[in-house]
Amino acid sequence: MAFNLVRALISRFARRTRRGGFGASPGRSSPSSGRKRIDPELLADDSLDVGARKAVTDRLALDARLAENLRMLELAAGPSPDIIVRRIATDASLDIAVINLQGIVDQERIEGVVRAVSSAGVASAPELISELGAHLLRSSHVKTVSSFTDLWDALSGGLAVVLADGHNQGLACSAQSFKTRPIQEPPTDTTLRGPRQGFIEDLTTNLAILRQWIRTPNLWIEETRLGHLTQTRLAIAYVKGLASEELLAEVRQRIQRIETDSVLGTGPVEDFIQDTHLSFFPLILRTERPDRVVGNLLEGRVAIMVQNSPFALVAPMDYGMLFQSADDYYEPVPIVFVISVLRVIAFWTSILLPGAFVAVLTFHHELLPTSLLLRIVGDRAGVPFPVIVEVFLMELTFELLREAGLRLPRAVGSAVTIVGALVLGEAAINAGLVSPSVIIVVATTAIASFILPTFSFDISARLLRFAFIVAGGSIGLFGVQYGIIMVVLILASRRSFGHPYLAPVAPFIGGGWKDYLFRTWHWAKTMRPKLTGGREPIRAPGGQMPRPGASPESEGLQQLQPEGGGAKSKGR
Amino acid sequence: MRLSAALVALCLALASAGCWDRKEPDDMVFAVALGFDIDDDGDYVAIAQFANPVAVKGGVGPSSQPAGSAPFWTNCAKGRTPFDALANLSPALSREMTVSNIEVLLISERLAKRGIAPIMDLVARDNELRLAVSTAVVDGSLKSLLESQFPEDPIPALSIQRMLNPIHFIDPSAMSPGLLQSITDMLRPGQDLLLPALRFSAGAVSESGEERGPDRESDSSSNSRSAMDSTSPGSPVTHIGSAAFHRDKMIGWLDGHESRGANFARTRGQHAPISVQSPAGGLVSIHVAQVESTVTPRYMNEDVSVLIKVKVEGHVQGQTGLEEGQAGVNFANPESLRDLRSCLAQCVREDIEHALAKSREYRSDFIGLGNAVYRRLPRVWKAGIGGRWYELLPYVQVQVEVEATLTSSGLLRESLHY
Amino acid sequence: MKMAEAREIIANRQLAAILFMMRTTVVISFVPLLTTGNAAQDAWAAGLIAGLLLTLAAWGIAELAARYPRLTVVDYSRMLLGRFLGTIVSLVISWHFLLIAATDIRIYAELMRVAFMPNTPIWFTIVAMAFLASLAAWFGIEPIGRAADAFLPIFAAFVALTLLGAVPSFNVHNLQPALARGLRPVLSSVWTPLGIGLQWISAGMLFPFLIPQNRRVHSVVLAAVLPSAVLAVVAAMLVGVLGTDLGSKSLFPFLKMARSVRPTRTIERIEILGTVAWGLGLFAGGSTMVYCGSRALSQILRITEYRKIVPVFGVLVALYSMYAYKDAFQLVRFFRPPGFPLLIALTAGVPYALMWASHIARHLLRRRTGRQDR
Repeated sequence: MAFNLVRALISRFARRTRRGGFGASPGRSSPSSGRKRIDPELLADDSLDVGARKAVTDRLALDARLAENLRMLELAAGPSPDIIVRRIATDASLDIAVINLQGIVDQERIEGVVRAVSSAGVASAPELISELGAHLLRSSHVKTVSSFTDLWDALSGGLAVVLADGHNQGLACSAQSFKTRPIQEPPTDTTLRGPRQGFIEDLTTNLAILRQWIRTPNLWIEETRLGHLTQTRLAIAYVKGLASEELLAEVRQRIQRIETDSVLGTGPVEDFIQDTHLSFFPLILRTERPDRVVGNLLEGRVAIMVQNSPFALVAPMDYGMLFQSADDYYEPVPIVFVISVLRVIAFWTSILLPGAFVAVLTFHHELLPTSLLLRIVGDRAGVPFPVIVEVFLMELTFELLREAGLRLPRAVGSAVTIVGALVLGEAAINAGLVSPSVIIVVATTAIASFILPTFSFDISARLLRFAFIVAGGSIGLFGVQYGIIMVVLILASRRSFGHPYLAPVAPFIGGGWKDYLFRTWHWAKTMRPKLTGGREPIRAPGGQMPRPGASPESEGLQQLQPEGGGAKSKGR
Repeated sequence: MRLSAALVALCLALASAGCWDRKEPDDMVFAVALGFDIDDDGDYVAIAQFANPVAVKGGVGPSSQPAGSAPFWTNCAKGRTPFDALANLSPALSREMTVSNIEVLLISERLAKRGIAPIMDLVARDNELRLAVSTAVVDGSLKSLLESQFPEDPIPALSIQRMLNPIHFIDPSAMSPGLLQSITDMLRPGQDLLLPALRFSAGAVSESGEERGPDRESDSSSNSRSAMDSTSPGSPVTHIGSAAFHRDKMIGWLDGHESRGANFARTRGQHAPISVQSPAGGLVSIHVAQVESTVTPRYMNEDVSVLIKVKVEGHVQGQTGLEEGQAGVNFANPESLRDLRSCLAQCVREDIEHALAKSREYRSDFIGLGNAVYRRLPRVWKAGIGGRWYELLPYVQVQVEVEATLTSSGLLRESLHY
Repeated sequence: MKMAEAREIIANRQLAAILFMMRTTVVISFVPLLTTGNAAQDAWAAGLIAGLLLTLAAWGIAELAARYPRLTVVDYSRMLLGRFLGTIVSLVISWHFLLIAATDIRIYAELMRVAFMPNTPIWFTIVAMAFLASLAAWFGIEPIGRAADAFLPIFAAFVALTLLGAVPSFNVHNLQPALARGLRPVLSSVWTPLGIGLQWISAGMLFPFLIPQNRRVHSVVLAAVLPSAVLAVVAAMLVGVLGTDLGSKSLFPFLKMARSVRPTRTIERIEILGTVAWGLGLFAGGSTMVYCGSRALSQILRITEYRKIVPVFGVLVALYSMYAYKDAFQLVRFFRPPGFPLLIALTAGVPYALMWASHIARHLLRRRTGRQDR
């Protein structure tokens, strides 16, 4: 009967907490003092589900007795071998436990804590805790823990927790040493002349990298936790005074709305905060490179970073950002202009070419010059499929190849390339199953689709391509044109965090084309983009074009000052 | 779930079934040249030259048997109207015929003499045929022409089209308007059509059995001779001369000189080689590079007179008559240059006069004198001249003024001594 | 979804782009300058005159709208002419939007049928374009404006390229004797293009949405000048290339010209450029018309959300397009003077004249009473 009563109590608590909102205050500690004390033995029941267990542990408070606390820990966290409990008897015969999670702490620091604790000569437990916190522990960061949630937060954050028998508060001190990989060049976004830095999985390191790039105090970072089970850290970064307050409010509001049990990287976050889930163009920029994030921050955008993911999100995004790569800022301007134009052409070619090819060959023969037409038709003689089926087959095969190439270990990768080339190319043509012109079209499309820096592996472009093939094959160029109008219309109606997506193309913002197609020299970038950086439009004074005739004798006599500031600030 | 499956099915259905106008290239047979003739009963005969794309490629392709080894083949059919004749080609074909890719449209002499207006109507109205094709009148058997092989291209239509549209007009009679210009020429008030002539050289025997054709006109000018008659050994067709029309009916042929004259009068005779009598004896060949002409009508005392002013510019390409001791033309001497120029001018003038003579004889105003009156003196035209122009044409006074300049003497400053 | 679900706004430049594309599309489709009326080789002069008159009309429409900057033409027609007459006028204006959208779509569908895809039934093209226009109108005038912004350079480039491609075949003789036939034939060609310029009434509907406000009238008027210039150039080119006879007797002269020329040895066929430009312009114009019509109807029927009427309007456009004209002949006949210009004059000219008269009368009355008060 007592058991059933307990069961009823649990279910009532569970229901109340579920209604009250999971994750409403995910990281908060300390239940209010007026609540009834819960017996940790409830956790011994194996039939409780995760939600019920969380409901119980959220309300557990530390007991004054050390044995109780350790029992609580064992009940809540199980017999995990990586929870190390070091029982110490101090000189004053106090019973102390130093708890840490093996693997995410630095052993030396733990030993330092143990040493400090064991050599403390304080008699009573509360005094010991406060003495430790005040000056005995040589850690950079201490905080008190009084509830189980605090305790576990500290432990899973790599802190060491000191519990004393006789005090219902413990002390947590920093001893983190997370295992992460070193900072390397990101594999998805490489440059020729830029820095070889990429974000890694540790959020703290990533934020540190950002701080190294932007040293102004106006780089503000706000952090929160998402996910009931994963408690993943999420941080947004922006330049205060540059990013518009409406944008910040919107970003914050969307993040605070997220309610889920796990957040595994930036992908889920992106899903939650996007303007619309049915978009075939990305509405938020995803990048691994700090220099891209920093560049966007300095234009008034907001960066969102998540623990355990090297990808940062940048909002808002527009169409022009699809065609930007980090290299654009490190290469000479005329080259960048030509390559930008090439990228735009390549993008639209990769989407439209197969559809247009099918359309022209099956509906509009009169559009091809006669010799070209005869050549293509001659190539196709004997091929048993209609043009559209041929193109479909080849595109599908190519998609299969592409996906296979992603998963294969590098050693086998070259074999796949050779097989693909031989199978698709030579054998298929020789067997008379496909015609060379279709192979050329498919290959050109594939090559063009790899040119885009941001978009390479996105499924959306591929879906669009297939849609255009169907449209072109069923109604000819009228269908292709219809599709183009539809795509442009839908893009024109999209907004990314309030920012019209097709800017700078539509609405036509002249200055915006400087980031989209017509790059200019850095000395000419005097204005910020109107839509995002409008709060502080002037970036740099004009007139800095390199000129002959500056006289070093009169201007360059003074050595460079370590405080920096530039020539203009020297009171000229 | 069901909805998305239905959509996918619809897409696939659309994709494979296609819509109403879908024509796989495999289902089509492409006509590359079209010829029209008319037979004794007044039925139109359409002769089409079809391309065989597989054989055009020359064997590099699927290992399956090509459909036929010849790169092209022809077919002909009769009908009461041109469109009828075209449609009657289809029963003999295994695939659907398309004429949207034709390169040339040829008209036989007989049909030209009966009138080409129905052909023009068909071409202007049809949505597959384009006005950008080249057109010519054939002297000889149209059918044989379309069946004969050319050495340069596997598909003869391409050769014929290039013949009619050379990049540099070498042949003096080359003036190849597309159909667009032909139609607009025909429709313009006071202008008549001049179509290029193609002579089929496997015996220049026309259907009526007589030997006719531009080749036979003896050149009466003493000042000029040109070797325009030889055909290249492999090519079955020569592009030489023109056909003069009156409204939509052909009246007669113009030979090389007369065509050239007509071209000069219409600012079209670029790159014509002319051989003139050299003041130093022999002949000097001059390559005329630029021609500029204006036709100015004048109306005085109820009489229309026309002034044709032509400016030609050429350079010397060679000379004959360099006997022993003769130095050839002394290009340094301004006197001899002047003589040379006046010889050239005289030559050009004669060509134009010949053309005018033919124009009067045929009552075909291919130079466009009437059109000049219509444009420059519209009130005169409206007042009555326009209605009677073809009666007045033989009596219109035409004055030809030619101004010739020589730009250079080629890469030699002076002639070589032997 | 949107951060600012406020009033929709479009830039003046975008409205100008829409109007430019709308007008240029129709007048290059079947070139009424040549094919209706008698101007023959002086069609370009007719184009200039029509442009001048259209600029005046545009100014009239825009100025009246500027006097009531926050109201659409439906609102101030009711204000100026009284409830009953105003409602009649508003309904007529809505019918105009329907007419323009449906006729434009029909012309395009006829082009498709005649020139490219003879076997495709005409209802397919009509329904497809009507659906696209309705979808765009449903999204709102902002995406339409932005899409027009995006398409304008392509549109202009394609039209320019087609004209450039025809230059080698241009023969100035075809244009002579210039202006020798007198003014009457020229004037006979002016009325239909002027009537088609009735599209500018859409500016009356869209005025409240335009920014920046001080240049609204400027842009609307400028948007009338440019396409008229283009029209004159196109007419001159057409006559120069095709000649007067062939030009005025063709059903779609611009397409015919693009099909008949062979610009260079490699680039042989350029008709697709003009057709694509036409499609883009039709989209811009058609969707704007559906939007204006839906908004006008929703205002007349006092329905706050215009989006509910968009599907209805779209269906009406499609039905009108399919059944109001039996075949291409009837379509051509519809535009011939004096029928078409008279229709426009009665249904658009007269109401606007009345509205202006009423506005001026009110203005004078207010001034007089103002003076009397003092």
